[in-house]
Amino acid sequence: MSLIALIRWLNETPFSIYLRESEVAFPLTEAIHLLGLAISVGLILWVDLRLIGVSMREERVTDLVSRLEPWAMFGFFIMFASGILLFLGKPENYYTTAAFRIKMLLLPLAGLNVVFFHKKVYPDAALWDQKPVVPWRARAVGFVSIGLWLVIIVLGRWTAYFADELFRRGT
Amino acid sequence: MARMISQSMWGFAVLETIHIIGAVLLLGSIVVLDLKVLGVGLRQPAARISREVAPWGLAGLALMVGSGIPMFMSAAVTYSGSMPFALKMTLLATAIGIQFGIHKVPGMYTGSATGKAAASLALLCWFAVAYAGRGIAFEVLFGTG
Repeated sequence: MSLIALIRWLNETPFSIYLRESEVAFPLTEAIHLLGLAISVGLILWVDLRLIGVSMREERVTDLVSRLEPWAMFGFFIMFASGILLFLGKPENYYTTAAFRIKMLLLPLAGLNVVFFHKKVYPDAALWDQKPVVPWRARAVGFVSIGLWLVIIVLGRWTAYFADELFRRGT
Repeated sequence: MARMISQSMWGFAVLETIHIIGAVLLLGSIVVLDLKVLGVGLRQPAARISREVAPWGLAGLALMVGSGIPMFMSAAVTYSGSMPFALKMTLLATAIGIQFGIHKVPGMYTGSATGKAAASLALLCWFAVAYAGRGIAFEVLFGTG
């Protein structure tokens, strides 16, 4: 089965129809998706700002990562779960929205950035975690993270507009 | 009619994007601080965390007000009749009051039961504000309550 056929099949499932026709499901899920930003990006922000050296410079990087990352991961799980539910409500609308497709490419990149950080940069953190200016690779991870999340947030809002039925009918 | 909707949605898209970025900065500052008062998250003294996050939180607040005012002024629906808007503003005043109280009342930062209750309440309030804010957008753009 091709991807577009799968998308179209999903679009017609009772669950998908319920999600987009329910007065509660979409607004509630979207609200959770937006609020989840505060505990995902809003928390990992402090690690990134420390890495690029503009905030929390007196704190150890290892402190920030070990204390904040678990909470941020919980936040990202909420984003993932609510995101899937949002998608399942109008899979064909999202699939055909350019902003959404680009966002889906950038999200794994953000994930790879985290993996890179933990595998290649963080292991020797004890050597530099107290320094206000950290090794260039760690700084790069911070910049990439902030940059990606900014673009992803913008694309998310653009997706909400371009994938919307009322908007599509109006243009 | 459809053209009016799409045109106002373009402007709103830009303003809402700035509003969301501001919210991430503001709520991110608040969450990291309130988590500390609750005894989880960072272990540094709350006053120290507060000093670090304050510039970013205030910048976020500035972005939210800066984008919120034009949205208010350009809305198709009068806000005076909007229940989500009245609710949001009331919750906002409450959230600011609680957050300010945590900051100013001595002993709140030391992890006392009162401080933790206040921090939990503050977090709930801020998220209620955001939820009501989303309700405004729905009402203004789609004419639903």
